[in-house]
Amino acid sequence: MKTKRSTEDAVFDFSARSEEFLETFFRKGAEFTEQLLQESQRMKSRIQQLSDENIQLRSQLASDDAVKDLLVKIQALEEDRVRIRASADDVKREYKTYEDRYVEMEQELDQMANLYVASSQLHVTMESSQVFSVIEQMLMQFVGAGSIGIFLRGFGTEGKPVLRPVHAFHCDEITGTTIEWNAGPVGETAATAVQFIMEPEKAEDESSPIACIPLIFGGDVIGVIAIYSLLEQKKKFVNVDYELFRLLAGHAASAIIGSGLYARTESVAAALDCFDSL
Amino acid sequence: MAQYTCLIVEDSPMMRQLIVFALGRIRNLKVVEADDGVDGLKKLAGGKFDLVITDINMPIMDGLKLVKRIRTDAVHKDVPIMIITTEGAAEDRQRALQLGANEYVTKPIQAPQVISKVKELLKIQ
Repeated sequence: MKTKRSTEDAVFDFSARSEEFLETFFRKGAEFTEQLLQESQRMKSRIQQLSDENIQLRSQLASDDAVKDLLVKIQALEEDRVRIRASADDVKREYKTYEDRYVEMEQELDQMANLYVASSQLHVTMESSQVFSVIEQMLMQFVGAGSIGIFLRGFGTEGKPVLRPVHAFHCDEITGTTIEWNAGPVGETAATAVQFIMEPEKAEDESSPIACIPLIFGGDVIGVIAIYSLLEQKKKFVNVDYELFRLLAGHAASAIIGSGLYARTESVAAALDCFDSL
Repeated sequence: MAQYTCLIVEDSPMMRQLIVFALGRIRNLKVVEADDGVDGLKKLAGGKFDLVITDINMPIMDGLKLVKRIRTDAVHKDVPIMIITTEGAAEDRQRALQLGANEYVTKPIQAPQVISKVKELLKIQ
């Protein structure tokens, strides 16, 4: 009886332990499964996170490439800019050259206009007083002369050549005077046939000429034009003045000689008579 | 394109010729010449002018009298007037401007300067 009892207890004990084991087993299994599910969820999240990071990094890489492209473009544009600036500088220089040339041509045109008008006016009259008046006007209007004397060659005592004034403009003090050949600026200009021009501000006094132009006809000096002063606004001689002086040296001389010869004829018809024999 | 007429009053034929030559470089500008102030007034009475250029020292009627006459003229009282003269003193300039001149240029003239002032007075670009 006692043995039977102990066997039953043993079976009961085994059964209880077995149930306990199974219970523990399933509980642990459930816990493990729960852990596995959690781990799986965590891994999914991590994969998503890595995937996002991957996308982000790829986009950043593409952006870096775009920056690189932009830098290359900037470099190319910078080179273009330097080249265009160099071209623009060339164009500017060329423009400046053309501009200077244009100004030069304008000045040359003015000079030619002055000379054209002057030479045409010198020959519009054969009357000597008008010829002198034209010379005076020319020097006053074109050069800006304030006072002018025109001297012609004559002969003094002992047959020596002298210079006598034939026209005075704002320098009446020369009227009636005689200048010896080779004396002073006027006489020296006559003797050398070389024009005398000084800087107006260096003139010692108003009775000394600041410019003397020889009147040359057929290689001979027939007189001298003397400028004693300039108009208030005219401070110095300029290039066109020198050109005008050169023109006057020849053209004014022939106009004066022509007017002198014409004065000896009675009329235009008489002047034309000399061509009959040609 | 607008047409302009300019009257040049100057007793020196060579100066007139030079001014006419210079103004020839302005397109659409017709030039009428007069020998002195009285001739200038006659020419003014016979037409419509956009600009008057006058010398001061002239026989019969000088440039300043002409300026005064023009400024009282019903038709031409507003016409721009440019003086071109040998008189370079400040008081001469002052007097001319007081009488009604718009520009005062002294001789010897520089063609580009005259052209530029004429264009200014006529408001030509």
